Amino acid sequence: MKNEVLVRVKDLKMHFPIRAGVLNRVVGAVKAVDGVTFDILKGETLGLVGESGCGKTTAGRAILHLYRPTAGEVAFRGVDLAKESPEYVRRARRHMQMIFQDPYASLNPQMRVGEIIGRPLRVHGLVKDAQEEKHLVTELMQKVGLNTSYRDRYPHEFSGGQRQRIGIARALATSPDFIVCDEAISALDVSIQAQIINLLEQLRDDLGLTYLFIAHDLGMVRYISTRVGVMYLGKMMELTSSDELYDDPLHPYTKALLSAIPIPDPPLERQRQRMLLEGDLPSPSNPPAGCRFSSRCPLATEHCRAVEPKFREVTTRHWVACHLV
Amino acid sequence: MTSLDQSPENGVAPTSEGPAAPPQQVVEHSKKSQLLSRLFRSKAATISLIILLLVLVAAVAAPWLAPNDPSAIKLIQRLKPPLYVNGAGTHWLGTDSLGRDVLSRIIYGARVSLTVGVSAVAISGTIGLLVGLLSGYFGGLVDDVFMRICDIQLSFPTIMLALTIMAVLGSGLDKLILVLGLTGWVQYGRIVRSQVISIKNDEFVLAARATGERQWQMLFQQILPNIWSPVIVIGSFTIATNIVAEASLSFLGVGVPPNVPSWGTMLADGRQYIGVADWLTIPAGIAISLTVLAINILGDWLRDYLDPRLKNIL
Amino acid sequence: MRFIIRRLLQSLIVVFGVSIIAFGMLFMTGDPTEILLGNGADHMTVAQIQDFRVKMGFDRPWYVQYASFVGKAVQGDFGYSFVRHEPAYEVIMDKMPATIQLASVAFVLSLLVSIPLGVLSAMRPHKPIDRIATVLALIGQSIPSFWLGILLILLFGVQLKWLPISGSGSWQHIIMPAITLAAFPIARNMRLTRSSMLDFMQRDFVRTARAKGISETRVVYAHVLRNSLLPLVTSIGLEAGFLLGGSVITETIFGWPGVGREIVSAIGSKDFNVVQAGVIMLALIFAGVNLIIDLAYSWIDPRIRYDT
Repeated sequence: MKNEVLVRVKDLKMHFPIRAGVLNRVVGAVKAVDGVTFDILKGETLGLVGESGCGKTTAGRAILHLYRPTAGEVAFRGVDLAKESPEYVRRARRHMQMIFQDPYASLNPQMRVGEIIGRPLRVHGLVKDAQEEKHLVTELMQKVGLNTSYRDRYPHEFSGGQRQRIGIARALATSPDFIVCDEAISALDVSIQAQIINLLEQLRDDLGLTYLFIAHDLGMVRYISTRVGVMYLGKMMELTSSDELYDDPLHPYTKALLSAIPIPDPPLERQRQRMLLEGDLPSPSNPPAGCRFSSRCPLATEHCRAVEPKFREVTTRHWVACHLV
Repeated sequence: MTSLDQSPENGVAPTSEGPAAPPQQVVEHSKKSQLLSRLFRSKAATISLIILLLVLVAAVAAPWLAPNDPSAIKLIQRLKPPLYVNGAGTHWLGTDSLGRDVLSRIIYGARVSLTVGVSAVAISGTIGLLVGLLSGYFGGLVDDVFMRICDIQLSFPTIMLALTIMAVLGSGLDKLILVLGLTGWVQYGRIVRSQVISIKNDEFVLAARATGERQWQMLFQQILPNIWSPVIVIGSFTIATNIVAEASLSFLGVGVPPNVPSWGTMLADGRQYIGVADWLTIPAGIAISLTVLAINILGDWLRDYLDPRLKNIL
Repeated sequence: MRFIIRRLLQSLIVVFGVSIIAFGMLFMTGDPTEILLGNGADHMTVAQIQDFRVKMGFDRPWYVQYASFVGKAVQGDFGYSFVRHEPAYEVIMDKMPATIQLASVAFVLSLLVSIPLGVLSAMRPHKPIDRIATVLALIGQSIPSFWLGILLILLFGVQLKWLPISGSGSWQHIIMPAITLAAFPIARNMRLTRSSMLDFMQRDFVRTARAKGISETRVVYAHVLRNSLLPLVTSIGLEAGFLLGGSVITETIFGWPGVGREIVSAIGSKDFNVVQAGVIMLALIFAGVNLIIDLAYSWIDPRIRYDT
């Protein structure tokens, strides 16, 4: 794999203001993403994991500029989108698409399948007439394994897995380079998850796609990802190749997450040392001082509660934010 | 619903698994024939539809249906009782204080009622839809100003507002349509706004943005098709409200000019002769009540057909 | 506290808007002089018309006129009635008690009829009593008030001769106007009570109360009804507006000597100072009633204070 950087995320922050009072003054902020830095290399699949509320979905959306980031840089092929006009960003969306979590909510209930898939082509002026659009939509439907005779049906007539295929076809329509898969399989039945994962993998290999694969299911993430990043309360905790992360996790939070995966081998499962997290996820509008994880970390020291650890490369291509490593 | 699965996901039931399954499920390929067959299952709705069709025919074909010129004044013939009273004479529903044929005026009155009802809705619907869409979608200053207008409108009975404006402008069919249209859009806008707000954060709108759609495309091509149901339902109720408003203002003498055959002006005239000639009021009163009742019943039915959840807001 | 401040601000904006509308109505066709003089202008010389314009202050910029209009209005000065030859404010305030009396009677009547009917309906859904009540409500919402008024006059005034058909003075005089004015609120409140009751009957806390063995009557009155009446309280604010606006028509039909009828007759005689005074005073009363109801409601139901 070439090490060409496709997306560079530098110190990305996404804060949502909390307003209150008669004059609607800003009284605080939900720091959904609070300074994360990483690169996404061309052709790789970067997994992004963490509990719900850790900011991974927000990160994915901010990277695509669906939200205007509060601070930081998201450079796509070397161009910082935050500095460009809204119209430039809109045109750039051709090259970066998204697959959504909820295949029920993300398809317009009043539109036929053919229109849902064909609209991006029209919006970006990629087809010259209805004939060509129809032809391309047919191709797309075949590519994702949808029966092309369903073109005039409405989304509610399909099952979850098929709806997700429609969503994938829509994302592929403009031949993008980069796709954010935002929990693209979490809402599906387990039996269907594997099929969709296989489809995504096959499409990646056939079309040379790059994925940011956001999920909370570590098993699936390991299977599809080249590298995996672990987020906690808006911060990146650990980032390395997926094999290394699962075989040799360094951050206590990663260890806790991994020990929550059941092992399908009862004797092994019984002797395993579990690392259980106590307490609830703190509020992202008022995170703990020092290391964000310090309030729930079993190993936390005074130092951890006072000073925030740097996100640093501990061994080659293995980044961790923890004082104890 | 048929199962379309041919892929290996066959086991998954395509129905009732998601909260997003829209109630518009029924609205499908065979939309129109289904709409009518469903309507005919309700006796009240069927009768209402027939009444409305009769009113519509009266309005359109008034010149051919009316036995006399509705404005022809014959003072010799004044206050002749209708046929059903003494079985004699040539005027089915009698004549008014100027000798004009009541039946002809009732038939022509349908024209005025429907013209005002429908044209004013067209005006208020267009303005309300646009303002509601923009205000709900973009928020900000437009929305703030619009919400303040709503506050004022709510505290100022529409009939009072229309009455004062008509008082200054003077009566006239065109002015009346304009005034009812321009005073009625606020309620329209409020409901459209609340609908837009309730779906603008739905994921399919975000998805449209992610594919690179422009703001106006998301607003008019993604959101708008999803709020047609309430728009149509309020529209039908507003036609009824406008018909009553036209008659009320004409009754008070500031609607259409007195010589124009409107059910409202007929009632106002008839009120002068209430102890003498009840045929001046009863036919006009029945005509307007039946028309409005029919529209309201059809509106109720349409609401339940298109989207029963609207019951809570309309 | 915040809620109260915001609500007061809202009322101020409303009053401002109403004053703009009332002030602006004379400018709607361009020249207020023309409107006020009407046909009389035909018999006047250009100089006389100009004199009149200056005397009325219509030659000044509109914002100066608006400022002086508001400045006088807050002192209860709406100018002189050309017809009655007394201050417009007094013309209106003389009629106010009659309007408030009629609106109050109609209001009480609407609650007395609609709530029991709604409760009865909800307790026996889809039974004959519910069907009859539902049909009545639909008719009540569809029948224009002036036609209902005329029907009542025809029946009780002309045919049966039980009640006086016009005027005021005795308790018999108020019966027909009050019924006419209350018909629409009765229909709406009845539907509201019914659907709200049906909604609450399905709630868990009601099921719990039933499961505890509390008698059905107690369940309905102590648990369901009390909660169902809350949405009714908010609609009362709007109802006040309806009753005041509806008074225009009802008072005209029955010759009831109130503000509504005064406004209509002032319109007929182009006595616009009286129209302005009447419209503004009705709107002020309405805004005040709404303010009180909202504040009272926020006190009864704390949830409302945190909304929006």
